[in-house]
Amino acid sequence: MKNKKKENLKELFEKFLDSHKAQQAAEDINSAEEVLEKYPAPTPSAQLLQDIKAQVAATVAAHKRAEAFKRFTHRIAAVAAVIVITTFVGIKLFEKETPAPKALALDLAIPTTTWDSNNLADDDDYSATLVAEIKQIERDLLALQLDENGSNGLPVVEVIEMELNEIDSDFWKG
Amino acid sequence: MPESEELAQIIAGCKKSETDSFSQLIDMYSTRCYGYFYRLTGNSDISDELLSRLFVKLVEKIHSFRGGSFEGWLFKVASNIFHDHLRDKQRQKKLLQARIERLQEQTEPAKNSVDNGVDQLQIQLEKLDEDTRELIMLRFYSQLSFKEIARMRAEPIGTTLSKLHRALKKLRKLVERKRL
Repeated sequence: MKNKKKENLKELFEKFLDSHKAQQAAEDINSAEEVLEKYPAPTPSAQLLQDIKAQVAATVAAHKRAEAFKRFTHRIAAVAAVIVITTFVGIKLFEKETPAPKALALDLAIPTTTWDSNNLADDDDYSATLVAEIKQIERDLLALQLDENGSNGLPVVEVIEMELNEIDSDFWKG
Repeated sequence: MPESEELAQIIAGCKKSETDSFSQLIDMYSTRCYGYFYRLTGNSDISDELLSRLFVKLVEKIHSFRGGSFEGWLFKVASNIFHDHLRDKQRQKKLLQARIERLQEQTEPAKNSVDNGVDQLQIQLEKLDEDTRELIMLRFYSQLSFKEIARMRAEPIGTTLSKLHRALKKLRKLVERKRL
């Protein structure tokens, strides 16, 4: 067997040995390799090579099948992923387009000004008037309990009734 | 077509899982790989098996070849297969036993021998330690340069050179002494 990769062994050995020793080492290697050339190893039989080729062909076929299956499963996985993503996005879009439930809609129909106006100063004035009127009713009730006369010569019960009516109408006026 | 270009085409075919390309690869390298295994094991049956294992392994591994020296890559796979074989305790036992038997019956010719000289060389090779024998066979059958062998064995080139020089010198002396 001829060595295809001819190397300059002497040059190679000279990196580690002096020129004379490098020459000697290169010759040693060349002559030892000649010994190996003289006694070639046995060669594989034709039957063996045929068997190996058949075995390799079977392995290649199995490999191809495995690769095809892998490609198929990858495609299936990709399609499944697309379906899942599309469904998810569709559901999200559908949720956005659906109107709010009826009960909620009714709640939303009540003007927010009923519960609190945008003007806090007005809210506070109104509250102060109510508190003052409630206090007046308390005083009138106390006068009633003590059997005192109401203000402006009217009976206390009438005065209270008038005040309650007034509060009631004020409350709903807002 | 230049040899390297032809080899590149064959390898490309193998990567495409073409059976014919694998057959061509087997035709190109089976003799050298078989010689490598035979000289390391000294047994034709084991060499048959290792050669089969090597080419079947190539089907699985060919995609991991990313260029460079194909011989270097191929013999690295072959070397790994040989070491796997050695790790198999049962087979190792049989191998050692077979070697002892052969050393005791030095006069009998071995199966597949070309002539008595082959046996003599094999007997002398078996007197060397495993690592040295593998290094000689790697150099002879893979036809790799010292630089490539050193890289493959992950050792400095100076170490590879001195080991191989000592081993080949010893082998030559053993063979010549036997001839005399």
